[in-house]
Amino acid sequence: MKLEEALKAFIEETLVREGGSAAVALDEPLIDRGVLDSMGMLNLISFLEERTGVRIPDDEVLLENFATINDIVATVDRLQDGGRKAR
Amino acid sequence: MGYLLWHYLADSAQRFPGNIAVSHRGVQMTYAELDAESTRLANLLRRHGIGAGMRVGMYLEKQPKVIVAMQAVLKAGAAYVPVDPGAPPARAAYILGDCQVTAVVTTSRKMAGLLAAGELPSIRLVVLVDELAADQAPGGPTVVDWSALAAEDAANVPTTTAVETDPAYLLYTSGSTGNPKGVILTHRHARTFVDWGVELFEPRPTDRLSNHAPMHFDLSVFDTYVALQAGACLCPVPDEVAPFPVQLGDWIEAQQISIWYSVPSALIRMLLHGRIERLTFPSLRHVLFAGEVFPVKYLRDVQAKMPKAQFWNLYGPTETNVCTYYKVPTIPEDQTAEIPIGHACENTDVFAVTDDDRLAGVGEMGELLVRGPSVMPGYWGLPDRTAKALVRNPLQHAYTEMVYRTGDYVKLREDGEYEFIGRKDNQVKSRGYRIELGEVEQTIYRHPGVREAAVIALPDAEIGARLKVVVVPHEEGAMTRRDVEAFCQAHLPRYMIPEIIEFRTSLPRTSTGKADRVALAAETVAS
Repeated sequence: MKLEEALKAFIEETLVREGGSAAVALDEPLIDRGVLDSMGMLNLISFLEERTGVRIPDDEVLLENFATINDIVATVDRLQDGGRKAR
Repeated sequence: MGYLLWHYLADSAQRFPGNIAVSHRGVQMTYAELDAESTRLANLLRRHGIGAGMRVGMYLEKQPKVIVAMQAVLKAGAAYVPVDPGAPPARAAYILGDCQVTAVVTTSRKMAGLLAAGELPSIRLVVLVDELAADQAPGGPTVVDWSALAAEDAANVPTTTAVETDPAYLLYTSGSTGNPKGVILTHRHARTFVDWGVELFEPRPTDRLSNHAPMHFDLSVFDTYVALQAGACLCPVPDEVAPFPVQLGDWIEAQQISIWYSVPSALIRMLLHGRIERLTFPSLRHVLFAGEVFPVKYLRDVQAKMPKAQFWNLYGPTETNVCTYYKVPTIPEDQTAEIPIGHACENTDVFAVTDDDRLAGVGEMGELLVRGPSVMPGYWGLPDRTAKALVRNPLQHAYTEMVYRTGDYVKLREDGEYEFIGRKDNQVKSRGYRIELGEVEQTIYRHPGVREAAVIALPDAEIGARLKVVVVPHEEGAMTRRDVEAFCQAHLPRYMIPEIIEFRTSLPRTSTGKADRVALAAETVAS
């Protein structure tokens, strides 16, 4: 499964807590769905680190990097590429 | 002289009508506006028959309308019940049903979740802070949106029969029997606490107070009402700032926060992950923390980064409000001992009794008991739990006097300050939240695939404790981590969900046949 699909499924299944429809669009601001509180962020980061093996440094934990599913995927891609170049 | 909790707002609106009362995401609301808007909503509530002796739920994210709604409910003579906006609808519905709210202030999305979670027959009015959903179910509660306020009277607060001994709000905390329990606090309790804070911290109309804690957490009572009393500005931390340590530090500086109050873990996260060496926090004059132990190694560093601020450690279960405090001196480099929780607040009495009900002497361990006008009258609808928590003062034989048993072991130091030692029971603190391990366990037990479950807390310097659950399924291999996670997500607030989930075929036992949590915790620490 592509990261964006897996991430969407993870957010819909475990982070959206509204009852009813949990569908989250790829470009929908996650803040509006109550997904990004401090505990949700921790869950999200450990999900991403486990799934992709990319470490997300503290100074990348910024709203602009986590605002939407698309933003998160872009952040992980960027960190992955940066890691490859460094090696 | 004011005697109800909303009188702070009314007085400040007279004295400082043009001052900013609430500032959030660039929206500024003056005292005159907050006063008028809350009077409108109070009149709307009264017209729907909501008033003294009733409760109104609040299930929504932090925003200025929450402050309006809290004041409006009080002006209508009723008590408000803030529910964790991150709680799953099933838990929110439990709380709203438990205390039989007659109205709820919420969003259309959350309303849909509540309706899907089950029947709430006590609710006769729903006030939406956003737009009205088109399809209203016939026979259900009346649903209005915020635009309905425009037609209401803004000048005259409705007449009610509310007095200072009536409940002002209910705060639900974790309950060991599997469901949260509602702590009742009256106008007088809250004002005793707020007046103490005003006297000690001397807030000014120019102060800007952060509001970091959620509204269902009692820390927010201080922020809200100390600000309202002083004609100062309340600055709720926006949801898009709080989870990001770098942005939180920037926000504190940019907002010129002068009085900060939070759980230690919020400050520790900012210290460790917020790059705060860039910042100087020139406006901060008081930093208050409560809810959990602030490990001294981190406290010293935070103190050094905020040199203009006086640090204060506040202590008190929701049931008593803050009951002790400690003015934190500059912590020496070589200090390793944790700081004390301090001594009793004004108008409050605290003392420790030994397990055989003697007054504990200096250096002797005892359970902290609290007495005074800030102690709750009881839990909502739980006379048995109330009777266990509020007991006759074991040291007072001449007459009956009730004291609250905190369940916390403390030691009195030579200098008159109390030191916190640990819990008497199965309650732990994580990120300042009280968690009854029994509640988490009972919830997981409800999963049909679970034969047994034991929840343990692993100590953690940054957030206090991390939870681990060991699950014994009915059928080996029939359950996955995700099953347990998803079940917890549907029934527990996020801070109560175990981070570590482990499966076994049996649990270690004590000699009496109980699950041996001590052995489980020891194994985890060793591995």
